[in-house]
Amino acid sequence: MFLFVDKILRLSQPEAIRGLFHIKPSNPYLYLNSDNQYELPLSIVGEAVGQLCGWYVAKVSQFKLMAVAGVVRGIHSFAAPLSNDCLELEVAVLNLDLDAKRVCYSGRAFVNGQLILSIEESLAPLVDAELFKNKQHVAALYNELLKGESLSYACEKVNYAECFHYDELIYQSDNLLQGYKKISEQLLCFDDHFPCRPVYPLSLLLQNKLEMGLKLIKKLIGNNNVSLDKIMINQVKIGDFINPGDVIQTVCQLKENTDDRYCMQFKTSKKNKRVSTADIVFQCN
Amino acid sequence: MNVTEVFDDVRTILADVLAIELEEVTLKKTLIHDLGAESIDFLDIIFQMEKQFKIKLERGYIESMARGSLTQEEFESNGVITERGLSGLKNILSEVPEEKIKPGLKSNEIPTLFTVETMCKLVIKQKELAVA
Repeated sequence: MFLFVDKILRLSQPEAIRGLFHIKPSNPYLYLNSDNQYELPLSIVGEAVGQLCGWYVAKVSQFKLMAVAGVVRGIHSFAAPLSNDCLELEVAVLNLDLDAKRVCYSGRAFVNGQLILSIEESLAPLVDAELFKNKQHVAALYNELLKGESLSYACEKVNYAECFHYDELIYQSDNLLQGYKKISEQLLCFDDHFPCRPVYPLSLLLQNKLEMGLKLIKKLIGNNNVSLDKIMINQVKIGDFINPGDVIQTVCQLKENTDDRYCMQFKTSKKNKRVSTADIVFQCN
Repeated sequence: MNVTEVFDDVRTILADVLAIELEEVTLKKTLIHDLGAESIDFLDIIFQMEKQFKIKLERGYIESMARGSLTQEEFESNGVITERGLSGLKNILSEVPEEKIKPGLKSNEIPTLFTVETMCKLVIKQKELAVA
């Protein structure tokens, strides 16, 4: 399961595109946070915003094209949504060029009117949808989302560690951490992302990086209780697909540390070829 | 309009997209080998240039310019640029050292020839077309 829009409210421009996602207690991606509350990982909130834009592209291209992750200028996270919250999603399409096969958008997610995440200028390549998905299935799902019937989950919760942690972490120095992860073929996301040609979502890769960065902070301060105030992810780039069975290697380097602010640079590669980069700023309380 | 007039803006875009220092971006540097651009970066560079200069850069524009009146078959054979194709490329990419546009060059290798100056010339050409 990897669908995070369950109602499309408005899909016409020039007003912002709007949608909803109800975080049901049965949502498989919820995990127990340090306050003993079930929380949805912030990367999934970003995924929800991206998927709303994806539905717009699908509709405008008559389900012939679909957006895949490319470049994101910035993602700011202010709070995490909890079980039973309803994500109010909003996307402004800044540029859609079907000939050039690209879409550029900004987006935001709110809970009860409070901004919890914003995406600034995400530029996504468009690819032929039929290579990745069944067109009829996508069109049928789109019609369901217009009706707004909430998604139900007939699956168990994901194993957070299996999904979001690296299999192996090696501390190279105080400011350099290296992680290895084999992308399991069994991950729940591959049912929807994408059925005909499964691809590891950038959002999950970002969550892997966030977890890795947190580990480095914990090691640096010698304390497992890190309370984050804000996370800013900048200059995200993914240049190649990561598929089930791939082994990825990520290098996390602490570039700057002032007071409670940690600026880190992440580089991910597979088979020694760089596939993704991101800069992440962790602002602790 | 000349290269000097657009260079500063092109340089800023390239430095921003490729996350490198402005000083690293000089006219003769190639985007892929010298500045480390990857295919996803080209999507971003083209988008930022279109925004900045209010132009439209068609996909495969340079290749189609180099091809001129040649058919696809006359321009390339089994993915390798023909002699006439190479001649067209030399004309359109006059800023690229001639020895780099050599027999055996594949069509999918054309982007490896692009320099910062190529991008500047692309902008100028499109600006002129827009005015015309």
